[in-house]
Amino acid sequence: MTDVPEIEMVHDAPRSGARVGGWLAGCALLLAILVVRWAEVPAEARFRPPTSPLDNVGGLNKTTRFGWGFLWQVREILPAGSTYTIVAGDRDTEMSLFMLSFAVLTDCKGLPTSYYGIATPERGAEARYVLSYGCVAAIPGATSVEKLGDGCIWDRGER
Amino acid sequence: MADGVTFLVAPLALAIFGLPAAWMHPVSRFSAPGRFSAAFVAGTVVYTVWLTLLSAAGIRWSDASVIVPLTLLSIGGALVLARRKVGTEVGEAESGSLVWWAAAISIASGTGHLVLMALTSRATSVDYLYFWGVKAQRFAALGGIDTALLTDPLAVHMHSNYPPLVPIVYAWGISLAGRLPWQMGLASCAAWLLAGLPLLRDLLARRLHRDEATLAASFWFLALALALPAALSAGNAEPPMVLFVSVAIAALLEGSSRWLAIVALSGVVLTKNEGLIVFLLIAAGGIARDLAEGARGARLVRRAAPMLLVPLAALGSWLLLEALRGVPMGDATRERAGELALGRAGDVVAGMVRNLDAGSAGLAWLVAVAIFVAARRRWRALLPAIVPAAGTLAFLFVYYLHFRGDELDTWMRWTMPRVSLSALAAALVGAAFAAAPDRRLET
Repeated sequence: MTDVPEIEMVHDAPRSGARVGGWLAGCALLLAILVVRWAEVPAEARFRPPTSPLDNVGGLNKTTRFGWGFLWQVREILPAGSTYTIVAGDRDTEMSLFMLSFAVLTDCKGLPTSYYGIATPERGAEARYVLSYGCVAAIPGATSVEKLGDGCIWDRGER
Repeated sequence: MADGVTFLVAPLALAIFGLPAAWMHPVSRFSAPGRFSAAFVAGTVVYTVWLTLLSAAGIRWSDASVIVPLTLLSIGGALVLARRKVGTEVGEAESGSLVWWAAAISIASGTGHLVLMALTSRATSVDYLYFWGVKAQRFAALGGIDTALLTDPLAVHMHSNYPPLVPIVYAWGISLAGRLPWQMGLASCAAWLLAGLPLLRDLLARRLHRDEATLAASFWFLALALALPAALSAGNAEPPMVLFVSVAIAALLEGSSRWLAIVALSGVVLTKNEGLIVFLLIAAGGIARDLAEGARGARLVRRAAPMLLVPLAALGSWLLLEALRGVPMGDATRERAGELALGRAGDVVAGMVRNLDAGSAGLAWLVAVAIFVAARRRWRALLPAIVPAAGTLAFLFVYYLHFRGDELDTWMRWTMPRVSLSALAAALVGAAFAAAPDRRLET
């Protein structure tokens, strides 16, 4: 692939004070907006280290935000190679946590109790461990493994 | 901390695989950072295509299969081209001048803003946690594209058909850092913009006075540094997308670096599914410009064919893998094409306008549009920017007409700032070239 230059630039293009001034003004305005953006953040929260990548994401529901921390707590407890399912108060939360679990519970296999809002109890029933976000329900026939800050882990035994 | 820094810096090493780009015309005359930037763009694309082909062939990624052949190829190509190096350098802003300080403050502030927004979790793309990072972890652990994950019916949310550039580049960082540092990884959005900045600046300096080129590039950088966090795009595919789109359009407008546009367009199609639309729009803009300026027949074909065929061939590496490994080519989570809710056209237009804030209260868009209006006599020369900027917005209009749910406003507020970033990048780059002195744009 050859590239034949059609215009050769040996010298600089002519300089225009108006154009330079215009770009300077544009940059100054953007810098001012940037300062305003940070001024809008409460001073005590401005540089506070977050507890998760989702801490300050606007528009996210709380359960998704806190679910990240829950899953990292679960990661410390679940044995590698085990299967798990996630139950929560609503299908949206279950889906969010199920998706996040792929990032955190990398040594385990997730089987959804619901997927994109559609109940898949037969798949969830194949999982040994039940991660109950918010400890929404006791799991019949399962033993409690751990009660964490944001949820409970249940063991249904070998599947 | 150390693994975080390693992860952030690691992608820059991909420039090793794109060294010939630093000796191609006119990049060989650019500043050292500009030449590095060109090598990074080319290296990222070459690396992605090669690793995708290896996975398609069932070959594991390793030093022997990746680093050795790509480095030898790259150095060999650079040595051949190095003999051809001729010409003068592009000028730089005088150190210590007002322009120099304005650029330094803009770039430092923009970088600081991006990094702080990312590290304080104010710019996180949830998709980074849902699938971009997940794929990268799995690809790095497996030493290849994890087709078992991509074909798992209970992993449809991975959007298996999304092109592989982002997870492949992240996987490179993971392999060097040892793990994915989820929090620090968000700051990679700044690295992508910074990596493209010197190249964009030097391309502009071929048509603008060096001071104007420096300031226009600084404006581009600041505008996108504000827009990316506002669009919650730390960690997702938008930062590389705006880099590739910007470089492709800048190279087409500059006029003598069409090969660089072709390389960047290959990056566009390998980064996002929407990249195919944006690529076609940029190529259409380039062809329309050539037509408007009198190119016909064989000359037109000679100019258009590589611009269309090379990026499609790059995308072909991914399509080949999908075909050979049974990875779905469609996306079950997406709306069905053609089912338009035309009655919502007014709501969609209003929603689009409301969500073009771009983190700068709409200033970035206003400046770009004002410059285009002022330069309207030269619209033909600016078609490579006008067509993708306007065309992407038109595409989004049609896309939102497909939305069937009740919460159109919420959906647009959540997605429009992000999916309009390519259009913004196109408009900013076009505006920068539109501000060139008369006749400097005519090719």
